Amino acid sequence: MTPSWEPVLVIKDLTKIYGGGCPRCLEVTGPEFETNICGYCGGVVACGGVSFELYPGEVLGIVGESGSGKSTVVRLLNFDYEATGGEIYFHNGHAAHNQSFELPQAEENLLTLNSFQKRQLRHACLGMVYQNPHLGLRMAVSSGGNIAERLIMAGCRHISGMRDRSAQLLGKTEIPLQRLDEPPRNFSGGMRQRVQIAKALSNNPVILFLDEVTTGLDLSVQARVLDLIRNLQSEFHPAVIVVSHDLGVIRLLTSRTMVMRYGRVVESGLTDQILEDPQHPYTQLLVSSQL
Amino acid sequence: MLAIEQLSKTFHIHILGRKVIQALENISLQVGTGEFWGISGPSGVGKSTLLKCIYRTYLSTGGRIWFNSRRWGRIDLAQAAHQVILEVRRTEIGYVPQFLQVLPRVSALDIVAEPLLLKNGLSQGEARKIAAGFLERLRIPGNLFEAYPVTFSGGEQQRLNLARAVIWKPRLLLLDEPTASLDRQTIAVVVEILQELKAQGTTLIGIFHNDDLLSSSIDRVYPLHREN
Repeated sequence: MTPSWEPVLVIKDLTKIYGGGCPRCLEVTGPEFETNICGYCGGVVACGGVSFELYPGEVLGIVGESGSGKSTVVRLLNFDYEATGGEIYFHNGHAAHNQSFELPQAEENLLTLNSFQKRQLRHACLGMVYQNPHLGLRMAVSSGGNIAERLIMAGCRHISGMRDRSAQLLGKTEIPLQRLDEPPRNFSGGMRQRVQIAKALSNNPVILFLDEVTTGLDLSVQARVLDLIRNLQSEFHPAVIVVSHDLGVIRLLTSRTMVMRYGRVVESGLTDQILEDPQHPYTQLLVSSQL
Repeated sequence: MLAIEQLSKTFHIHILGRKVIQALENISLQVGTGEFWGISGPSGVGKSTLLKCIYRTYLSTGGRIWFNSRRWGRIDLAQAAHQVILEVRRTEIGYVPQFLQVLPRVSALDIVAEPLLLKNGLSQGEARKIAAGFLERLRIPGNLFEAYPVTFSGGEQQRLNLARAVIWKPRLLLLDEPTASLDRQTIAVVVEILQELKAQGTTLIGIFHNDDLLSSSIDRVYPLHREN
C-alpha cells in the first residue's frame, strides 16, 4: 500500500565523516559500538547511512542527545556542509511556479550539483532557522535588510515590494514594525529567533529546517515561538524538519520522528508511537528520562 | 468497519533488563459500522492498550486490524504505511486520550476549533462558533473560553479533549475513559453527544467505568480479562 502522494525529498545513505575517512569507518561506529569515532583512522562519523523520505506539508522530528548528528543531517540538506557520501533527490511539482531557474530533475542527486546550483536551490526552495541566530542573520544589518537580502537571492528586484514583504513577515512573526530598520543585535534572543523565522519564510520555502529553535529561550518565549511555527505551518504548508532534544517540542509539533544516536537513525515512526511505545533501548531510555 | 484478528501486544522493556510484559493476547473482535462498543475489564488488563493498538500509538506484536477506510478500502492498521495512518487519522479516525496534551498558550476555544479548521476546512469564525456551542453544552463556563487549558481542572480538560475529538465527526471514534472524572450531570451530556454522533453514522469504541449510565447506549461489550 503506497500513499497517492510523492515525497518531496528522498534521502539515501547520507554520510558525513570529519577527518580520516577509511572504508571501515561505518563498520566500526554507531550505537552498537557506542562511539562515532573510527578506531582505524580516527575519523568522526557525524552521520552515517541516514535514509528517509520527507512528504509535502508534513512535520518530521529528529531527536537525540547532543552530538548524535541531528543538526548535521539538516545542515547537509541545506548544503551548509559538503556531504561525504549519499544521495538526495528533490521531487517537486509545487515549486515550479515563478522560478527564475530550472529546478533539478527528480532523478538528479542534489549532492552532485555545483555550488552555484546548490545555492540557487537553497534560495528558491529551502529555509533554515539555526539554533544560534548569528549563523542565520547579519547582526549589524537591519531586520528588514536581512529579509530583503534573501528576497534578492530568490530573484526579487522590487525595492518597495521587498519592504512590504519584510513588513508583512515581521508582522506575522510578531516583531513590532517600528523595529523593521533596527539590526537584530539590538534584539532579545526570542526576537532574533523570530526574525530568523521571518527570513527563512520569506521565499515561501517548500522545505523548512528548524534546528533547535527554542533551545535557550525562556518558557514563555518558547511557547510563543512554538505557537508561531504551528500557525505558519498551517498557513503556508512547507514540509518541516524539526531538530530538537526537547521531547515536548517534538510531541507538539511533529507527526513523525526519527531518533538518532552516534550518527545513526536507531528508530523512526509516528511521533506518538515513538514517545509511548519506543522499541529501541536508547529511545526507551530517552523517553523515560523526560521530566 | 473494524475487524481485529488475533491481535497481540508484548512490551519489551530494555531498561529493566529486557523485561517482557504480555499486554494483549489473541484478541479478535468485529465491529460493525455505526455500532457503539464498550471495552470492560479490571484496571491494567489492557483496555487502553487495545485502543492504542487500533490508533497505532502502539505497534502490535502480532495479528491484524482491518479497517474499512473510505479512501483506500480495507487496510491493516497494524501494518499500513505511516503516511496512510496519518491520513486516516486526519480524515477518518478520532481518538480521545485520557489526558489533554496541547500547545501552551492557545485558548480553549481555539483548541476545540482547530480540528474544524484543519480537517473540515471551515473558516476561523465558523469553527469558533461551533466550538463555543460544544463547550457550552459540555458546561464549560463562558469566561473560560479564552483561557489556557493548563489552568483547567481535570474534568474540564477531559471535556475539552472530548469536544476536540467529537467536533469533526470522525467515522470511527476511540474513547479512552472520557467520563472518568466527570459528575453525573455532565456524563449525561456526554452520553447525549455520543448518541448524536452515533445517529450520524460514527462507529464508537470506548472504555467506560460508569456502566449504569452508559449501558443504555452501548450496543455491545467486549470483556477483557487476564488469561493465565
